[in-house]
Amino acid sequence: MTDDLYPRDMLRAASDVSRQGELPAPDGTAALDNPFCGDRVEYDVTLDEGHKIRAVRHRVHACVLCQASASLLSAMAEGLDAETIAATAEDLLAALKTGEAPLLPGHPGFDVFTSVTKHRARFACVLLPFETLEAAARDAGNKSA
Amino acid sequence: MGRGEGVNLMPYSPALLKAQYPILSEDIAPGVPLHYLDNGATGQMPRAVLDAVVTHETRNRANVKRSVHTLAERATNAYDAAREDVAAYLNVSARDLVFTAGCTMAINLVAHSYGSLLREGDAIAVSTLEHHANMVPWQMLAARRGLRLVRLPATAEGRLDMDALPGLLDGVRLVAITHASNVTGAITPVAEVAAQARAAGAVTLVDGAQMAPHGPVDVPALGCDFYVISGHKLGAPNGIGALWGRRELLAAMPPFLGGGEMIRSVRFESSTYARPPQRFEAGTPPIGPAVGLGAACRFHAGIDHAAANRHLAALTGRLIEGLRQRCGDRLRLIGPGDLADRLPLVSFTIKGAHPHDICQILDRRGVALRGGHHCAQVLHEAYGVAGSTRASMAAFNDAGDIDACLAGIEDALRILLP
Repeated sequence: MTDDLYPRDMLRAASDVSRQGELPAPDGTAALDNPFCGDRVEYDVTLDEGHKIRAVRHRVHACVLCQASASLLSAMAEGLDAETIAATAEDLLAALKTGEAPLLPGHPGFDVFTSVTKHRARFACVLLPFETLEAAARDAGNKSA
Repeated sequence: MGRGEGVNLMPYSPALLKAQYPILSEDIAPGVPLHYLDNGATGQMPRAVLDAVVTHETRNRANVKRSVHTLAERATNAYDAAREDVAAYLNVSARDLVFTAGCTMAINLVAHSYGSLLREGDAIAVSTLEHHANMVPWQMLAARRGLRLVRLPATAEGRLDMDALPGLLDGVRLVAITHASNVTGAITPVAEVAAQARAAGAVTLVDGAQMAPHGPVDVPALGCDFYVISGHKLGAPNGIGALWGRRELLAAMPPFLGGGEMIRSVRFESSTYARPPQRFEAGTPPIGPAVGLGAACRFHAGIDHAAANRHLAALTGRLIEGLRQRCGDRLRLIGPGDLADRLPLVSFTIKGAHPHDICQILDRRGVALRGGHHCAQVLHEAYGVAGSTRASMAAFNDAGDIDACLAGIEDALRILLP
């Protein structure tokens, strides 16, 4: 059974999208699909000299949860590197399993996903943007190596 | 026995049928009844199947065709009887019926075994309507053996494009098609396809996963060469399915998997193999699930599916009309808009509302739907969408299930498209 999975804050995060679109000259790109539903997230990034994200843009064709996650992640992405994104995704997965706020300390926006804890099949929707952004950052790193 | 011939059918009543499914008798949450409309993904298990499996595992459990003690005899008899029951449901001989781990395994068996007899440059024709289970094994075979993969297109209504078929079969040695699409619900004119394929020198494999739960299948009348079914769609346990193959084809096919059960004689250097169907059943078979599948086929053979399908066609119309009224121009049906030659299955998109979000919101009312690409990504790409929402019915569904679904759609529209 589903209850309060779609709080107003979640719907707002999904519709109030930040950093949507394309970068004119990305250092790295990635597009990943959710294998269960075909949803797609695409990221463009540029990196600074320390391999941290300087700029980010994304395109999302996905559910409300995935849209909200991509929007929130994009807003915090600048200054992160691939390893940090992967570690943050691990932290978020662990937090989703417990559902206890704060899910990501220092990023209260992600607490809209506390309601997802009862819906294991939807974790992938929240995490797909993280996997894609990490892949884009690694793509950029590989190209500069 | 075909289409229930010779079977005493029980009078059809959705309410009486529903009462035979334990899972449908309990609320999914306090005060919220279950409206199960995800039968295309997995069929629920009736009491008759549960009882057969429990009886087997508690009274007859043993390995088959090895020991001679009483339990082993009972298990062997039960396994053989299950093969007879499944064969009867398909109107074929049990000698030509192979138990597999499911539809996917059955298709992989044919792809590996029959596929090994194809020659480089031969072609395999696969329709764009196919479930991944009837597409990916052929892609893999084509890559392995240097074969051509030919696309059989679908019409805008999600039916196999029969007009395009004659021009696409040159050089084709195998045609892989679904008996009924798990997305559009369209029923394929299999006999016509198989006849054209045969004239072109090709054999035809038919995926019967969606069709078989809607009544006994007269496989010989279809004229196909391979027919596969999935146990869990029929309400049997997971991990069981069946492959029927034309006898001369099975006889010419090499084994797929090696091990016990499938051999005639083993020497250190090499082995000889049993005749079909045992040749294709390596290792201890899934005996309990096979007993369950046999029981499921007996159960379904006892349903008046002609009456059930008339009832379900009316429910399909009620659902389509209800969606049109509530969604207006936002609605897009992924499949035919009419009721002819289709399963009681409706896939659709609502502009601005994601299928997973729709399904999640309907779950609040106990309505179980499926959202996503339904393992048919190529078909969804042809429609220009990533996924759809699907309601798939079984003979026990009633108007209350459809009305709960439509009420849930109103919820979804209110929440997702305020």
